[in-house]
Amino acid sequence: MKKLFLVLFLIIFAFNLKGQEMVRSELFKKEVEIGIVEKLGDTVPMDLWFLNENSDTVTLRQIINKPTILFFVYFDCPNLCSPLMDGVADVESKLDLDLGTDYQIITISFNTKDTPEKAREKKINFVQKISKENQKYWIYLTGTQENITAITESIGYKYKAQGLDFAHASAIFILSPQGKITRYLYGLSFLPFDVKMAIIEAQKGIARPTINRILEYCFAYNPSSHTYTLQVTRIIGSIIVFIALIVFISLLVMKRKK
Amino acid sequence: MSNSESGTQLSYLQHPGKYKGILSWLLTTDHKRIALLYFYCVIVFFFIAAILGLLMRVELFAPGQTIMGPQTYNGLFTIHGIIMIFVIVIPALPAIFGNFFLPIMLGARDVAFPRLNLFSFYLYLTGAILGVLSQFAGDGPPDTGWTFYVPYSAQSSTNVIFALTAAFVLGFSSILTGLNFIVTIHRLRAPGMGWFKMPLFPWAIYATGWIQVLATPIIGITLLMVIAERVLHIGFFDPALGGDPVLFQHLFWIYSHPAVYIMILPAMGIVTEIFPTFSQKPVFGYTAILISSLAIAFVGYFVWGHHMFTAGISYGSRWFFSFLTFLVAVPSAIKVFNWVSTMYGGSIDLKPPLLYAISFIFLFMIGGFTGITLGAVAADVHVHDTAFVVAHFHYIIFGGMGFATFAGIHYWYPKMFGKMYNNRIANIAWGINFAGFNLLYFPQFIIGIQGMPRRYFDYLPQFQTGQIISTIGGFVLFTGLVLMVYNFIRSIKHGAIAPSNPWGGVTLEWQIPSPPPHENFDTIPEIKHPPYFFGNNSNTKNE
Amino acid sequence: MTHPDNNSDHMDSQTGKFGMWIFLFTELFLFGGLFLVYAVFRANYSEDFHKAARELNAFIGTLNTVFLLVSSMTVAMSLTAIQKKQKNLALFLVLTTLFLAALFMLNKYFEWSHKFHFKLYPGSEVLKNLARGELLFFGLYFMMTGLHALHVLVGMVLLSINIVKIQTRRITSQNYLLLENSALYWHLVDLIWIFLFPLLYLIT
Repeated sequence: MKKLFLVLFLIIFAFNLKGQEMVRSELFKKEVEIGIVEKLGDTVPMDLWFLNENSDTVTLRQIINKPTILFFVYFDCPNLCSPLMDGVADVESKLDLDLGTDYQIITISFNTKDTPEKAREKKINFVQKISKENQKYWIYLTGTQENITAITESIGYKYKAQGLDFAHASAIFILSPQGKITRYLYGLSFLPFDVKMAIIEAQKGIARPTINRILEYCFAYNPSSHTYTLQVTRIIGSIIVFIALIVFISLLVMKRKK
Repeated sequence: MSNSESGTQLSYLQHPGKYKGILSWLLTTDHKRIALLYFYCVIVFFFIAAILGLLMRVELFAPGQTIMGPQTYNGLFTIHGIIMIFVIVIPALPAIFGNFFLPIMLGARDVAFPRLNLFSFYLYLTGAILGVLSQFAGDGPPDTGWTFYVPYSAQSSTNVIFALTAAFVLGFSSILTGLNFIVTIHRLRAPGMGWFKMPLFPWAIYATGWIQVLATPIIGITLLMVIAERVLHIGFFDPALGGDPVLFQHLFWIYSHPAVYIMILPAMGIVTEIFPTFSQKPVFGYTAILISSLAIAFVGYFVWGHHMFTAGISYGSRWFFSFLTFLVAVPSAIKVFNWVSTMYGGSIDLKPPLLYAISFIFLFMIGGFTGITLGAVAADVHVHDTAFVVAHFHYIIFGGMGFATFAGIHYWYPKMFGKMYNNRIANIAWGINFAGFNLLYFPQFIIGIQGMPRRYFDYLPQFQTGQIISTIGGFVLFTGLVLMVYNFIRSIKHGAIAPSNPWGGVTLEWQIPSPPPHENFDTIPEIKHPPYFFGNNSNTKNE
Repeated sequence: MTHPDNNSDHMDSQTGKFGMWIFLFTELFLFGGLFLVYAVFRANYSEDFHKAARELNAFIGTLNTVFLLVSSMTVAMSLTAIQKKQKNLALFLVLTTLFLAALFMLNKYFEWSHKFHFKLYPGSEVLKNLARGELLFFGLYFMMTGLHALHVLVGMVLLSINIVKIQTRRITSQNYLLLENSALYWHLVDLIWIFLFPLLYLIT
């Protein structure tokens, strides 16, 4: 029995060492060709201009005035982009925050061959479930190579042309009303809760309901699991301090027992 | 055995001895008078060092130069540290309450070596004065920090030798006091008071005494080595001459870490006396507290490297010291459980001593938990030399030992002076102290994690909010302290006469008059009961 | 446990001795710090230490060791003498102890002068040109023997006080705590030298 445990221990130990090595090599990866290099806390260049789906020239500064879900696609994308836009549309319908009041969505095509007309066509597919007044809060942008490069670089979004197509990652980025990158969420589909928490975090600095503040206190983003996790330590700590306060007050108030 | 009428005998304050007038105080060998000599000096030096701290807080109110330049600031934090550590926190509790109450709680008439006791006091006074003189003599106030790290302490053109000598002399005083108390406890206990019938404050003094005796010589020789470095260029710590500056750090912290246990063990001993008295039940876990005190003293010798995680020591060393640092926290935690359990089911009277004792637990735990944070090497690398460390040690030393000292003064004041202080003022002062203390130090945890370095007179604007709150807290705290001391001073004259046992305590000091007579006891008592015996009515409260 | 009345004029000797023992421990730790530094640098610079130690005169060192050992013996004997009420013998023995101590100090004076003559002292140019380990060895030599010599001087003062008190009959066969404690102190001074001697003189 003891020998078995010893062998198991050694095997697990060996794997642990290998795992450490792998994690460490991940951490030190610097050069990324296709993917995302996070730039949390950076502000995107707000003076970049693009054409929206109505062919208006708009700068980011003009349109970003609330928490914004931003993501990149190209309109002839055979693989990831439609599922991604589906995912965003899906989460929009499930979010109990209001598109338009609490946040907005910006989709930017990084393909210079995409035009406002194409953008308009694409948009129709995905805003089916959104009310007419709010559809204008999902903005589709196209633009010049220079400005596309500027915005994708500032977000750390790396993609590569492969023939007529592009190889790229699938993620959405949350920006604050000042254009600061506050969160990266990865994948094709998103938990409404994660997106809601990310938008709440982006609301910091502007007026927001108290329940959002409480939620932000109780949940925090965990970079390794890429989700928002319940901050048990914080909550229990608060409860304990509260109990200590109650104990103290009762000591003050209670009469001495005989 | 005891007489609760306080009028028949002359108290120690009035006893006519060999000398008259001021000499009867300056040449006294009565442990109680010596305790008061220390007490008055500690109060004076404490306020001096506190004002120095307040000046630092004013400077830190805004970034850039506010009221002083960097050289002055460096001098300030150095002397603030030297006075607070070597003149106040290390000596105070053994010298004041150890001196006054150790013999009484053991049933003795005095300490083992009364004249040595007086000599200790004069060594202390000399060291303290030397420290203050370092500010004014020749080359300017020392600016090395109280930690005197080489190579700067060997090179700085300021009065470093003054400060080193002051610390040496103060260390010698500490050694002799510890020696005196150890022998007193071994040899002078009353008949029937076996080791395990001794109350826990004497046990705390005992553990402290061993640390004083065994650890202090190391800092003594280390300070001499730095003097040799400065004067003779002896080379031990100079890389150009083959020496090693990190060797200094090892030697320095081999004393200075156990020194913090000299600071905290008597403080814990005091609150261990307060909780049973104000809960009117025996202390919970007498043996556990006893063993924890000894364990803290013992394990505390082996954790000094946690001050050096970023100094370049080996991986193995860092692992070892971190592990032991975590370990040494366990006995302290055990004591906290025992104190709280002592209160449970007791007849609680929230008088000022208990108020301070309870807030001691709260503040000490914050300090202790943040100590664990610092004991984790990876976390320490991030917060080393930031305001986080400053906040940690102030919570432990000031919130811990400081508040326990206030608790002790409020507890034993009636016995020492024969008067009661004003409870209402005491409670108000407590509230101001508690609020001010947290306002002063809690923000420093936060700005420390955010990157605010320690010992800097200037800082980046993002830290200013925290610094402003902290400075305001400093002034609030100072007000509370002044109010508290005012209460003490005023009550000497205007306080109600104190009975021999105002709190219903059961240790020996409450069985003699307030203030005690010169020889403490008419006849040396014979001990029959366990140390916290609330059973019969020979020790009822009399108001 | 005996519980004497705490009359400071006539202290219980057990208590007094216990106090002295603790004080001696502190002195051990004081020198211990220097021994620690010695150990560290000897480990780093063992060759240099061997070389530098050859500058020390092992003969004088041995002589000094003999002086101190004999003086420890004489002071212990003086204790027995006083217990046996042999005042004059006790006086003679303490004087002998003092004399041997003086010889020790004389030797020390010669040793140090010799070194100074060759400019072998901390901070000198000669020392700076030596190998680092040798420089440190001499630093340790001066600091350790210097601190020790200081303690020898203190011991000599104590012995002198004892001589006076024996002569004026304030130390008697009933009351000899001062002599006993001074003897203990002297033994410590001897003990420290017994450690210093091989570490400094005999490591060539």
